Amino acid sequence: MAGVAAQQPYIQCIKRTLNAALCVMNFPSQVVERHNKPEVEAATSPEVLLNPVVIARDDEQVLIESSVNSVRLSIKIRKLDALDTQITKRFMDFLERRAEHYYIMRRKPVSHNGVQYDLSLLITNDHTDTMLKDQLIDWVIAFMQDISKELSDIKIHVGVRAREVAKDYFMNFPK
Amino acid sequence: SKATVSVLYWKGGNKKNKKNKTIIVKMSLGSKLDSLLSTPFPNLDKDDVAGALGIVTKCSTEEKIKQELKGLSDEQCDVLMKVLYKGLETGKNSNTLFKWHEWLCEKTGPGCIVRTLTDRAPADDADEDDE
Repeated sequence: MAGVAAQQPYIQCIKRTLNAALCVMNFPSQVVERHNKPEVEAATSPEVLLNPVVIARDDEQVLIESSVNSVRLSIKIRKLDALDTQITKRFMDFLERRAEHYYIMRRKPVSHNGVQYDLSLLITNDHTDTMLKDQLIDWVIAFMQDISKELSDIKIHVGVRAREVAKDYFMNFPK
Repeated sequence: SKATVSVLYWKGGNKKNKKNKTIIVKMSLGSKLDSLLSTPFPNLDKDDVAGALGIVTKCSTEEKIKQELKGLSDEQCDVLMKVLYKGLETGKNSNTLFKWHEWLCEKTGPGCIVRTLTDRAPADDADEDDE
């Protein structure tokens, strides 16, 4: 929905911030013994939470919340009209229902400071231990770009299908 | 580093006698950042960073950005990164701010971003004495 070239500075800024934020390590819960929870989700100890940052460009923005053992990345996609809103919502619901296949996807997007995000990813120390951090970041960036491309393709196909359906329907009413 | 202040122009009053004039003073980026040194990132307001952001958004070319960054100390760079993130929250002038972010990271490395993420107000010593 946004030009790829125009989006590059935004994407690179997110990449640099993620590279700095994804310095996570194993950190057992300080509140419950023998428990190990992503602190950005549990938020049990304020000293292990880092400052959340928002990187915004026009109507799209990304929220990066970091903690000692996990990072949550929330994406708000640019939507131009009601059709974009509907397509985005349905596509995100589709992805979130299959969140376990993506490993790092959160089933529900977060809301922060009155802004409702479209998709959230939760990356923990387990993920950074089993996967390469640089490739994880590259995957997240590619995922964001692919989602934008998918949503624009879906919007185009909706228009094409609507035209075909209308053409077929009006064949019943010859001039 | 020293704060550089230059007199921009004389406003109002009699030009010959320079009576009843108010001096409009132009602060450099370094001096604006020095004023924000003691404010931690969570407590930074949009109004606090407006002055520094005003100078930042005026320099939109690579040469100007590099020239401004040359004159900044390490501490001022850290404050600048906080200012950039505050500016990026609004989404305005984002292209210029992305350029600044890129060249600032080139100069300071990712540590600057980590210091912004971990910045917080120091613990109040008075609370410890109450125990």
